[in-house]
Amino acid sequence: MSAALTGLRPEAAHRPRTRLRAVPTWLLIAPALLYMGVVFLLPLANTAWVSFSDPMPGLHNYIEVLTTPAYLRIYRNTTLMALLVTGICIVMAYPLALYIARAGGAVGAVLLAATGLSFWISFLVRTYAWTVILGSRGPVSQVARWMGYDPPPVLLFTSAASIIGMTHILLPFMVLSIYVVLARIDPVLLRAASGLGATRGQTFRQVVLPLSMPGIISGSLLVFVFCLGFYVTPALIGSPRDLMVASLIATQIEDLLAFGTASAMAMLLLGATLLMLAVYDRALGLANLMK
Amino acid sequence: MTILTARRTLLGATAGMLAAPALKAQGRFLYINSWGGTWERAARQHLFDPFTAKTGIEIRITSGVNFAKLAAQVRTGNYEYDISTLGGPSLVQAEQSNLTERPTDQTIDRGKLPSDGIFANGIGNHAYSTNLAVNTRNLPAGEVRDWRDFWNLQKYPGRRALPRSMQWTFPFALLADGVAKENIYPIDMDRAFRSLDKVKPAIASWWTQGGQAQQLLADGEVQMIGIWHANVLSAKRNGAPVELVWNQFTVDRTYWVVSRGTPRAAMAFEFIQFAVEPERMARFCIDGQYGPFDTRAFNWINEEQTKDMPTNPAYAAGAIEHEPRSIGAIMTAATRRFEAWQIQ
Repeated sequence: MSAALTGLRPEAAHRPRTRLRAVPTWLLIAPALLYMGVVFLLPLANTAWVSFSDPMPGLHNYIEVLTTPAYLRIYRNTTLMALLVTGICIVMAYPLALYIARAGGAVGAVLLAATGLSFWISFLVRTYAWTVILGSRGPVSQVARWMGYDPPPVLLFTSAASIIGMTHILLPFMVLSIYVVLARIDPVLLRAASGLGATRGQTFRQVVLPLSMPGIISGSLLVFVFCLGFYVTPALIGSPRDLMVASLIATQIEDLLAFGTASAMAMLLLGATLLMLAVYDRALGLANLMK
Repeated sequence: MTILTARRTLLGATAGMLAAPALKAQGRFLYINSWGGTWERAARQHLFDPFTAKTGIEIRITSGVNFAKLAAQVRTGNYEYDISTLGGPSLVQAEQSNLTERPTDQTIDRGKLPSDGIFANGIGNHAYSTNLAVNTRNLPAGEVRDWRDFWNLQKYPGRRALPRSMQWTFPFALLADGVAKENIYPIDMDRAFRSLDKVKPAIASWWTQGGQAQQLLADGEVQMIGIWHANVLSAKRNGAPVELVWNQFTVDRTYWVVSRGTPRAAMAFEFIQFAVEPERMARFCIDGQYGPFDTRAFNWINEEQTKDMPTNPAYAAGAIEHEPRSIGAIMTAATRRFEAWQIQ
């Protein structure tokens, strides 16, 4: 954006800005605020209200959720699963993002497009594809058989399948977040580092990695928060034992009509997410992401 | 698009917009919640289209039968569908939560229904069953005969699947544990879970959707499964090597219900009365291989056509009729307990 603007003649870049200044800022963001208010804040407020009032006023929904060992275990499992997937995504996405940023040009564009391409396919379809790939007669099992593992290892309906499926769906978010930051690193800094006698490893550790931290952090936040709310993938290809909070909430509503309990569970999940963001902010500073 | 055609399109669209309110005032609609697949195809051909032809009332489908939606509709007064079909236990749950419109003498002519035609605000339509089914790629047909075999992990080590909703799974767990079929009800939940403990290591999936169960069986992801009969028939039609076991199967009856408070209740009952006429029910059931609720429907069904119907007298010895009130009463407790049990 800034690069595009500097390319313009100064007066051309200037004119629209003066015209826009006549409109107060709040009016410009009003449509977005109104939209968020109606489709997000109101339902959220309603959920909060239901969690304290259904079927009767009080804290009983929260007490029920927080004192049921099975529910706490599901919260813990969900968090662990989300952390694991986030970690795997970082490890897998970083080299790819680095490669794309360095390759640039046509190779970079093709790889970037390939990464983004999977956003075009419904994630239900992507999840379903894994049932075929990991299935007992799918390609993975056939390769295992060919290599002498008979019967081949069971993959579908295991925790591993869940992790593979979730990683596959969330990886592009991590790649793009890291890539955007890496691509902005001034190549002059790298030349300066090597000019000052740094090895390639030192340049990476002391220059590239610290500068790309905002990308890793924003990617991790995205992936982690998405993971906390994952529902379809673990339910369709995961082990029956790794139930996620989202599935638990669905059961409360669909089978038990326990709108109060479900709302309390949702509010607790939201609370846990906000808490996580607060910890992040303390440790690393969310304001850094805006840079 | 040239400017001329663009203008024509625009004109057409404007004309359509002007005409729309008039059409809406004339057109009468009913929204029906559909189970999809075989059910929808049979219902459209034998019930929906003939009803529209007779009355001019257009029927629109909303997909995915979802009990929670029924509750949400009544809570918010915002109706996505007027009519749904529910199984016995859900019907009892819906009646207790006051979600369904009560049929009255003004809305339904009881004289035309069988004596047990109305139950818990529902009007009986058809029967379906939940059966043991086997993928015969690795197991010869006729080898697995009952739920004791299904529970025998030493003899048949492959993976299995069962319904997530305990209304269907409890009877199988008790039968596997040696309970006689007359003694299944009232359900001993402790015993059922102790029995489920034994089969749990081999369960790959607790399925929630009929299509999902069908896929598990047809692809051979599981060797045996507790599954709705219509899904096995559908897999068989598609050429999958599957066997439907007509022994120790449970029979459920489904009922038409009207969402409580819908402004289209009178039309909804008119449709239901139309749909349950025995001859029409017979045609719907032949097509979907369901068992007709009203036994008079058998006057229009020949013996060959009853081959895969759960209410076929030839299978009666293996059939177990569900007790909806008994199972409906424990469903909430059972679901909560299952939730905790499955992650252990």
